[in-house]
Amino acid sequence: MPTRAAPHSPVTQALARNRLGVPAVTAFVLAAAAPLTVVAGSAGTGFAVTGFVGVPVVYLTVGVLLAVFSAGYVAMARHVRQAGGFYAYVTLGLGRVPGVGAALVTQLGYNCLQISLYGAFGAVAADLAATRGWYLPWWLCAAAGWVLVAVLGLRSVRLNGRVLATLLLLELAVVVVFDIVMLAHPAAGGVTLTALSPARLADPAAVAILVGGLAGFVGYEATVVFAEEVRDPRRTVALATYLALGLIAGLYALSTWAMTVAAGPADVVAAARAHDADLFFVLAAPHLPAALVDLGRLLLLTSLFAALLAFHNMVARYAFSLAREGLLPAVLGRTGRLTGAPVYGSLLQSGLALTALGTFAGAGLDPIRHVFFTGGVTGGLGVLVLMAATSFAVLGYFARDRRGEPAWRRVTAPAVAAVTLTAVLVVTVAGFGALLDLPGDSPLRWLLPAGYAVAAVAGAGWALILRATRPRVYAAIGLGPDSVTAVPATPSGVSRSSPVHA
Amino acid sequence: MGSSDARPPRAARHPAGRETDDVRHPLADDLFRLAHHHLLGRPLLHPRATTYGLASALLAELLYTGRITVHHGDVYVVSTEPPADGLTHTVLDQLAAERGAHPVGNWLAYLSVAVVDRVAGRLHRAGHLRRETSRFRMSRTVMWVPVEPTTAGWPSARLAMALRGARPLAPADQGLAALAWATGLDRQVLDGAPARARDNLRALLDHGWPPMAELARLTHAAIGRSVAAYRI
Repeated sequence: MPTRAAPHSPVTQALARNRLGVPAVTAFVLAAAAPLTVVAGSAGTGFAVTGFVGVPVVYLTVGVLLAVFSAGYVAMARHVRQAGGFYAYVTLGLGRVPGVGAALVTQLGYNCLQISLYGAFGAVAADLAATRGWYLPWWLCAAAGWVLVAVLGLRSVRLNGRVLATLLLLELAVVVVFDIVMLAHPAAGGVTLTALSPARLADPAAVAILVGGLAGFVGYEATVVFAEEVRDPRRTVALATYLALGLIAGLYALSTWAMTVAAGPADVVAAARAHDADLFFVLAAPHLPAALVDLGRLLLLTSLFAALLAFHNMVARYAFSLAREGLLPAVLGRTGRLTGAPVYGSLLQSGLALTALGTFAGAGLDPIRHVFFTGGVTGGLGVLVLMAATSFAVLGYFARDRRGEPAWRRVTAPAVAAVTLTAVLVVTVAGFGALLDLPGDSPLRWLLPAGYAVAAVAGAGWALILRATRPRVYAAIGLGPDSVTAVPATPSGVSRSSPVHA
Repeated sequence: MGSSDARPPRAARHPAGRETDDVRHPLADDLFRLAHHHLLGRPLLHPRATTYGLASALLAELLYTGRITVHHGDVYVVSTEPPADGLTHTVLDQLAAERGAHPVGNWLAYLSVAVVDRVAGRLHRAGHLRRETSRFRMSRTVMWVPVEPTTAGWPSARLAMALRGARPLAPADQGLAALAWATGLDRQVLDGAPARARDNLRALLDHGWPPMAELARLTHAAIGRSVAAYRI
């Protein structure tokens, strides 16, 4: 092999100047994870729907579990420069057949998460409008958000990085200030650590609610997508991943604990049932100027919108990559001539979201409990499936070649993550009805998890069909937009059968 | 020098009959014309595809004049003999100044900076474009407007006719067609064309001159990656 250019050549340095550093990557993924959305949305609903006080310790546990998962995940990112995320990793680690299964699970899971956010967006916007005296149905507000997301998605408008970062910092500041205020004004019993006790994990409800906690972290895993765009692929992605993870876990645990302190551990569930997602604001409001509480509610709305757009773009670009490989119809791989946006991928996601929103509004579902919580938990379940599969994929990938990685990242951490995540998955599916507070005879308790099984089996089946009928497409699975380079271009066989560049 | 420690395979080193500096239609000029309106000069393509496409076209000019080759995804300098044209001369100097080979994607990202103005400047110096500063919408933007619409529209017409089988495709036009595909301009060039025209284009990419076909594929992939990696 001829020598590759030195890492410190003028070209490499010029390119590095335009690349992303740790703060930029962290800010991007935090905007998708939308911490305020979880603290002021999911957390309150989590207390209410599950009736479980130990939510803070659940968030901490998820944080630790994801840190273990990330050890292997980030190690693999050092060797795979693919923007495909879970799907590319499963393909490389376990093969193309499970890979395509993972691709469809990803589509389903991220769509669920995106659509669930419309419930919260609609409800929060309707509440905000109501304070001004305009009484609008939640679905109308959600539809307004949908129009904005659809238009921005089609035109590929980039939200200004500075605006995004400012909003994010304001969000974090609001959360911290509210937390301090809540801790400074405890309920009758004073400040207690009850909700943080690890003993809470012994409760069977704790394991089931882990998936809800996991949904709140979704977005952080996108750090690896930037592997090709960061200054130092070996350090930047890993640092940004752990930084985002630490920030999110710390913030969620602190905030939910502060909520139990302010309401009193014995009363937090009842308070959450009375106020649902608004609990965070209701508990802090008596001790803060009204303007600050209003600002918090407004930031919640912008945070929800950023997350909606982030997930919309993620889904549209996933569809684009899959279409470029030939797994989905070629039309989804087309981009707008003047915008460069994956037009049809964007339209498909918007169409799905509108259909779902119409159905939910028509059925009279509650925007928070049914759309936001049920949708979010179902999406979280998909991500749980993907993370478990990815842990096995990391094991498979490094089993063939150690690539100079230490045993902790190659074997120990991914093995622990694979076993734990699979166990959580089994418990979650078994208790899915109880987790969502569904009536005992509701078919949804099986239908929702079964959707992922259907997607995985359909994907695997499609891969098998491609292997038999279109070997060129099959060979390029997992390469995304690079798939065109895998086709033998010359008689001398200039081909690339693996997306690994490093 | 780049050629000393980064030697291409022998087969790719001799694009027989293409080692002349006499390229009547410089590829980047023609791609610029394809990517802009022949009367108004406004862009017909999104910025990333335009800049990566033009960067790739400059590499293609060096490829056709035997200065570089593309193999296994990397760019190799074959000859540092200065080209007559100033722009490609500068690019060749940049390529040759690097020790070792870079992947095509890196070069596209590197050369794409200011490439529109560099290629437009070359067309301007040759008298094909004029500079117009518009104050439309309060922001002063520089527009490059074709001096002669017929010349500006010619590459598109030439490709459309050749791919439909009405006239032979010159070697450099095979590269132009491949880059039109890589940037997504083929949909416009072949708008309303019979399926045969698309098959001809596909055949160019599958069986055309290997380094050019590879360059086009890698350009297509690099633009696609930038679409896929875009967030929020």
